[in-house]
Amino acid sequence: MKPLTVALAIVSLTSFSGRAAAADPTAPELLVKIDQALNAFKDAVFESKLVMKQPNGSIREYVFTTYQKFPSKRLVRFSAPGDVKGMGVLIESAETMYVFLPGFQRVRRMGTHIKNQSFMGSDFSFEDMAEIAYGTIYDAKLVGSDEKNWILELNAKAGQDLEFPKIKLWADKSMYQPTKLEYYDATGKNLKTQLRLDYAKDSPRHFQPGKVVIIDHRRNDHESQIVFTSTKIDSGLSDDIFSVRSLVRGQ
Amino acid sequence: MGMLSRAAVRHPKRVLAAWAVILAVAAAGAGRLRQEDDLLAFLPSHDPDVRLFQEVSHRFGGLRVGLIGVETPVGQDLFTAAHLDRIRTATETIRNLDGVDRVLSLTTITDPVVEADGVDLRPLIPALPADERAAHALRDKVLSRQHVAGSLVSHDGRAAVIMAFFADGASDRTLTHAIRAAAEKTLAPLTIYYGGAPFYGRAVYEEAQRDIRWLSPLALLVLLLVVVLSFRDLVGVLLTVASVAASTLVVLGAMGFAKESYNAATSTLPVILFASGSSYAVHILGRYYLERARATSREAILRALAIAGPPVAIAGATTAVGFLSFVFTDVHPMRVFGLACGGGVLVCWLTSLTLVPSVLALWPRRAVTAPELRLVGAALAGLWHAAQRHRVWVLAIALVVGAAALRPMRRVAVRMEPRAFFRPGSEPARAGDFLDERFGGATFVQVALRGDFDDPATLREVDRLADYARSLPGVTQVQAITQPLVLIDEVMGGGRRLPVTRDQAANLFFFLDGEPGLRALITPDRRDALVHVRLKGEARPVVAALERFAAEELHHWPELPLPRDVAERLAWIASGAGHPAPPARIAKAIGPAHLPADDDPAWLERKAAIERSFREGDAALLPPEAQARQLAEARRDLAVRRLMPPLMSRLGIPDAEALRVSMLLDDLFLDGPRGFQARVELHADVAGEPVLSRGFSRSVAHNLDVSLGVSIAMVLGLLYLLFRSFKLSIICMFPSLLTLASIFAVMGLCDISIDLGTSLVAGIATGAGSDFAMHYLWYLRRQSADEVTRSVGPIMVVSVLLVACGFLVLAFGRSPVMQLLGTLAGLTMAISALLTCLLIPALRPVEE
Repeated sequence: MKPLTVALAIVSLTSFSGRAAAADPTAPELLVKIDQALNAFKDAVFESKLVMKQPNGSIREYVFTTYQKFPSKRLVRFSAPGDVKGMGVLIESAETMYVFLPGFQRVRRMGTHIKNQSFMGSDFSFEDMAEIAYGTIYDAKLVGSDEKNWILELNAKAGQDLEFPKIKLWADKSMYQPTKLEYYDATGKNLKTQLRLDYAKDSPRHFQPGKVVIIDHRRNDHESQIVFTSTKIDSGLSDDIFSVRSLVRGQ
Repeated sequence: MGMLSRAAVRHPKRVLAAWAVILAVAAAGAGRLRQEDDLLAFLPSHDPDVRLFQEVSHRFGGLRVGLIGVETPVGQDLFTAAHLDRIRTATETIRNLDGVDRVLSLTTITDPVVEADGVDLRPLIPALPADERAAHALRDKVLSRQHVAGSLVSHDGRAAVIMAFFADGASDRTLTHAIRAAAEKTLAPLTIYYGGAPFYGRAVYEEAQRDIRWLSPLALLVLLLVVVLSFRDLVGVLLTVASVAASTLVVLGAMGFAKESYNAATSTLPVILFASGSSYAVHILGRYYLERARATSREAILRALAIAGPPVAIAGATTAVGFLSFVFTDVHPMRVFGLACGGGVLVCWLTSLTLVPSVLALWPRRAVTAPELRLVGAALAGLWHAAQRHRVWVLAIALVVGAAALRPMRRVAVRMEPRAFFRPGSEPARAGDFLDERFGGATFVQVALRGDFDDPATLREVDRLADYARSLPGVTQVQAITQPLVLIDEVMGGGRRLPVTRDQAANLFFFLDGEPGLRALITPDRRDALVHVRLKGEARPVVAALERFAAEELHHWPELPLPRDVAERLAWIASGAGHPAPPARIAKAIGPAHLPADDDPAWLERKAAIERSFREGDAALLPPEAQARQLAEARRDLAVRRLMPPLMSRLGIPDAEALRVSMLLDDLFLDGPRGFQARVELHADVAGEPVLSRGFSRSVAHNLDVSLGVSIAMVLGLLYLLFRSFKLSIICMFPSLLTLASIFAVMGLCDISIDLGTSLVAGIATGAGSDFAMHYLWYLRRQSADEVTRSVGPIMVVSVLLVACGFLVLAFGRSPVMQLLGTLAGLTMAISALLTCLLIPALRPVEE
């Protein structure tokens, strides 16, 4: 379940750059461009680590690699710390995945229908990690802009039961990538803030954040980060990688 | 002192101007005061129990749990769409409050459904029931989950609990108010209860504060009444009140400049100063009214200051010392309280030497000779002579009472549990009853473990500790990390058992990371774990038993469980089920543990099925050692299934315990000590609210001893400075000490325990209670007994009335803390004065 969200997060944080429109676009147009930027690629390999501050002040890190192929094939392998090394997760859909546990030498199917709980004890929740396309679940309103960003207010579409019914999103005017997201509850209270920092161009059409920081204001501004150490875009990943056999063999 | 009072008489306007400036500055300082109403600030930070609680709380991100209970009206079930929607909305709203670390309720629980090839993780309540049939089905499902029924929903399905874990550092005041607001908005019309330490602490504090708010004006009114009846002079009355009011403002201003906070203790400052600080102005005024009959106003002031000044100074000093003795306690707010009250008393004394004379110099008053005071004087004179006539009896009775008090007074216990302060029928008392009745109590003890929790042997030792805790009387629920591990082990296809290798443990923990309840059971580095023990009734025996287990029974270097360990744990389980049996008998009932033989038909059939699966599908990909492990597990399963039913039946263990029994029996068949030797020593400490209360109680008891010892020594020293006689100093303190001993003895006999408020009484009584005798003895050295009783006696009575009534007013509060403090302090003052009137004349010949 958690590796699923890792992969979803990676997807949500991955983008293709778009060309800035000549005139100010409308909010729906902007949201389409943002979703396109977040989802338009063939395949990718991300090396990343999740950094969490513990209550006693210590830091815990998970290092993992995510293989991803359009539209929905994902495989996540954990390489550190030692106690999770070798674990793998094959994601078939948003609600079904297969996990491989080296300690048990078994593959198990896991179906999950729970999104609004903490991801690996971090401040990321399943829901805020899994936001791949905002346009399918939110309606957008352009509420402002600054020198670098469009500022959109996203409100949950009717019938959507979401942990965060409202999001305020800052999208970079040149990349159409989110740089900051504020998550609100139904009463308009800011619960979390996500910052996507250090964007870099890692392929002719792709910008990748170097770091994603999430701050949970309910937990005394407790903070977690995902740091991307390397990315490889459109390298031609084989379909064989995304199979149970590959999962068991660790390839 | 003389200079000050002479200056006040000669330059009254300047003195009043100086006071005006001082009060203006003080008002500015008082405006800076910040309110600190977190009762945790009163915890003694050096006490080992308190430190352990704080460390554990910090390590696990908060142990303070607010319990929000809901109950449907009689005849209604909770499992309706409307009620469940209320719980869901309340859970989400509370979850989103600042300062809430996590929330557990019926709507946050995951319900894994294990299938042949994997598992579906779904919410326990995936959707609101659409009709009555769906509601019944949901009810049956939820109540069948052992870890939910009796924990988050009552067994009868009429009540539920939402558990809000407070983030480390969250303010109890802010958060309890926010949770209340959220609950009342979302859960109405269900009956709501607020339980758990944060709500209990707030309830006790707020009830005491409500009392202070309405009792302070009442205390002032009583003071006014006593002074009006005594002096019949409005200016005199206003002066008495103004002197205390000015002192209170000065102290609050000083606290503001010193960046101290206005807290539960210092909020009682106005009442305490009105009670114990008004007598100085009364003494000076009383003497002034007497002298005014034969002198001009200025002369009367100077004479009053010359005669009454020294004993008033010593009285101020002894009373201040009583309060200042709290400076030697180990709780910062109590030290501040001692300084504030002691300083306040000294400022009251200073106002009697400066403010009072200045006003009298500017606005001279007439002599007052109230006929009632003359009657009081006559009564005191009569009492004096009676006590002298029966001095042997008076002294003998005093000595007998004192000796008889020694034993019971030592039985008085200090108890700081919030529930000891609940008024019957109050909101927290009702919440406590609700949680006790429906959910097995609201008291939690935590066993903090430090070790290597990837180690299978250590995990089994944790489970052993949990089994032991479950067997203790009063324990209704035990939660340990081993329970979710077993559950997830089944989900991962390992069977319902604890992991047998470190790798397996690590894999299972990975899948538990992020579960809302996990942070309360184990730290992310898996070096610290908590076992939560929920109990009903008296916590002390459970704490004592767990501490004994941690010290004597816990295996610090756990190994593979032996048959005798398994028998011991089965004995605990049987005992918990009401069928105690000696471990030796159980060991015999288990007999020698054998795996199914190689040619056992049932085993051969099972083995063939498993081997078939290895040739087909994804299982064929498994390496040989993984296949061998699966076969070994299946063989153990068969052995356990054969052994378990007759054993459970023989020991009278109910089916509900089948999982625990099967886990234990599985260990009997593990093949050798593979991985079963802990590499890190296992340590256990018992923590939790009851242990915190014990540390708090210990600190209060210690502080009581320290403040009493310090105040006795310092008051004795001051009295020696005044009288230059140890004998007189001891005589002077005798009435107040005898009073204290008697009061404490009565408390011991009536099983009344001491709390933070009543612990103050001893120090206050030692200082203020000695004043009456000191005044008597001071004047007796200069005047005849008849003159003293008739002239000074009435003023002393007024002063005693002021102090005693000032405190007794608190007894009209609704808070048991205030009631006890007011009653004890008021009675102590009144009885000290009465004993002074009896013992001083009785001891007078001794002194002479």
